[in-house]
Amino acid sequence: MTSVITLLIVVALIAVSLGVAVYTRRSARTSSEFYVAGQNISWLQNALALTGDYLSAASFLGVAGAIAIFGIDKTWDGLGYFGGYIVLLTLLAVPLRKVGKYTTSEILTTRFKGSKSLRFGGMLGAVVISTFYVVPQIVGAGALLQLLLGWNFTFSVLVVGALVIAYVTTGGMRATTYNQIIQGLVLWGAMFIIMILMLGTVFGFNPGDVLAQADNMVPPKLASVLLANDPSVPDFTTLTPDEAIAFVSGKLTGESTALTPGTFAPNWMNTMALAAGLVFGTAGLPHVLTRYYTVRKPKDARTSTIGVLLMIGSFYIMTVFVGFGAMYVLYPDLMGYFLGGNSSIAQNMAVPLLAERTGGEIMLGVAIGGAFCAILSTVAGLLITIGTTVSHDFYKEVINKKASDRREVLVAKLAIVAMGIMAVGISLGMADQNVSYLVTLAFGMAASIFFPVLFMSIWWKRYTRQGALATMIAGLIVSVVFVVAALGEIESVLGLPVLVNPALYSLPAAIITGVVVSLLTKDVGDVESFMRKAHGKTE
Amino acid sequence: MLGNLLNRSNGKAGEGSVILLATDGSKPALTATKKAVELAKATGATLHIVCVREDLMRMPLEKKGEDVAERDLMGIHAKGGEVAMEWAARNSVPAVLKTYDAGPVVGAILDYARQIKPSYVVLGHAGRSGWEKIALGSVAEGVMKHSPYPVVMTRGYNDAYIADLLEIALAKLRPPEEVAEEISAVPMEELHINRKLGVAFGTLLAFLIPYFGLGALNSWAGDIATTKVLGDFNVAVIWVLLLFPIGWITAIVFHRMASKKEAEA
Repeated sequence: MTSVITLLIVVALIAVSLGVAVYTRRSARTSSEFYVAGQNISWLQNALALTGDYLSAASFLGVAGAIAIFGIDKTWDGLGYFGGYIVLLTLLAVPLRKVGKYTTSEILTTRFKGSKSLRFGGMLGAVVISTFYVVPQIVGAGALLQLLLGWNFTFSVLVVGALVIAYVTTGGMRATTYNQIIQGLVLWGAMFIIMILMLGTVFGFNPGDVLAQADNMVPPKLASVLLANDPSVPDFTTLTPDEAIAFVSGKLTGESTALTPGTFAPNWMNTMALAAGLVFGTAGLPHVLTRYYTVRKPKDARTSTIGVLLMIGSFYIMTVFVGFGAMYVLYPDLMGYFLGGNSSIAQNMAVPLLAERTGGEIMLGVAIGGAFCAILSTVAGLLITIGTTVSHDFYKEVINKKASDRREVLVAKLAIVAMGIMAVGISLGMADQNVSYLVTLAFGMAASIFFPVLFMSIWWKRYTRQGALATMIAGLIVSVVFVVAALGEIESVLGLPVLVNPALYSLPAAIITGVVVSLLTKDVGDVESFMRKAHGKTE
Repeated sequence: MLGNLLNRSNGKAGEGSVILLATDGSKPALTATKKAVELAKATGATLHIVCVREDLMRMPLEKKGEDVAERDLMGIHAKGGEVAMEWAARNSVPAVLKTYDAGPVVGAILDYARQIKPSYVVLGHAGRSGWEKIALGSVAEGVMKHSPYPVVMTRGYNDAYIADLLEIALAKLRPPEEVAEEISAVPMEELHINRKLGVAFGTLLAFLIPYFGLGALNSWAGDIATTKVLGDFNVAVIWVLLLFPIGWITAIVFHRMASKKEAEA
């Protein structure tokens, strides 16, 4: 269990960020200063809200944490999360803003009017993707509480789940947007401070030294597997980083170093599956698409996205150095956790542990508090998206067209609670998984279930109602099957090897199915009106 | 009688003077509307009506959550400005309507007040309390605190008192904010969908080729990937770090090209 100072800093950071969000919302109504109408929602605010929504536990804990145990292969996570916004920017952002709909169900039924099956498919896809996205956040938060308070993982996850659901269904459902703006800044700032402290205290402010050390180390995940049954393995916790690295390197001469590709994704199929799943996944993430609702003009959709790219790009560059630096500083600890059966801490806690080692209790508090902020803002964004999709896109449009706003909000809250409980249940079985890895699976599903159907709806006039449905069904089935197989450590399905991401199979499956079915059917929906909305000039 | 009372209070209201009503179309605001029109009629003042739209960064569910929580306090969401104009006309009170499309509500009311220098600012107090007051604050209290002009504040509402205004308000309810944008009637070929897709995809490839190229390098050319070319930096690491600026440049180039095309169109 950590100190009272750390705990106070964590609580203070969360309270201040939530407090500032509420104050900002209130001030937007009651400030006595008047600013020019229409100028108060800038592309920068949107960019920050998108950033706060997007940078989750996976980015804050998972990416650097994964690099710290796997090495260079896990830089793919940050690269893919970043690249996904370029796909979104070039192919979807502006047309979606012009159509003025922000959930897949709504976008599809704007073209294919009245389709209950597409509405249902859109809702189901959003629930599946978002659940897989919420799970890693709760796993990350559970591991944080484990570290912070010394609770066991199961109890931590239950507490976190209850807190998150309560937060979103009560106050959090409201000042969420402002919360995300504040938390976007908190996260970026926390990672920057951690990197600077690490570079200053361990590497003499020389980033080159970080990489020089990385090239001497066998990644801890690989080393711990290879040395698992070696009787000569010492108690790593008694060694310095240099001693631990020297011991492992001596034992495993010729093994891959942290800068050698292939430790996590050992062949081209795994590498390309991961790369494709990540880069095409962002454009299919429900909570990312809905965030464009607050973008006022089509042009702002582009500038906001560029703002996000600058924020997250610089963030992920920091995670590369923080990840490799953490591998060096924490080498004995990570080896000790893996060999001692504490892999849940080794998988996800490198960033907080590094912060503690370089900045003491205060920085540990900043790191854990920052991670909690990441989790709260992302989970709030995800749960609100699900609430909207279930209550508005499905319940109001399909089940009860006369539902009042009060009823709609109630249904949204029930959907949020149901999904929260489901996510907590799944999280309990995921203690030993890296949160960034789990999120990459959600990206793979989004790349298969939503990206192809949105892309073809927006750009292909010949795309049909049946083709759209077939695209989603194929993407959903293939991606879920391969994700479940990957988590169940099944080696192959129908003769196909199970890869680190389902996208190499599910993305082409969705596209090919959609194209073939569209060519065999004729109902192209309200294509002319839709295309005019999506591609016409509206400014 | 109320007019006399007010006239005695500072001697400002009267022929040629101005009364400012701030309204959001809720029941407390309708109460204030009725009071403001009574005042203007009694003193021969012109009624200026100010309406401020809250143009905030929030998702539909966030807005609905706020609306539902406030429903009992607000009672109704009508087009407050139009209701007040009609009520003023029915009472033969000269009125002017000013709307703000965005901005802090209190700030906008005070901004307009500074322009017209009213004898009184009239507005309704919804009576928020607890979490709603913490989360949203009170416009009435904000104006009261910062206004350099006298403020007349009505509190809560009584349906019987505003029955006649409610009748007008029910015919002027605010529609959902989602307004369908006009669809251009240009022929499909003039949308240049394929050309736009070409530009989008072409630009995207500037990122995707080196992105998947890194995958190819790591998969099929491991020796090259681990070759050190810049101090301790091997090819793979440099490639990873370069992909971020390549992405930024791709995004900015795409934005400039798309903006240019839009300007040409």
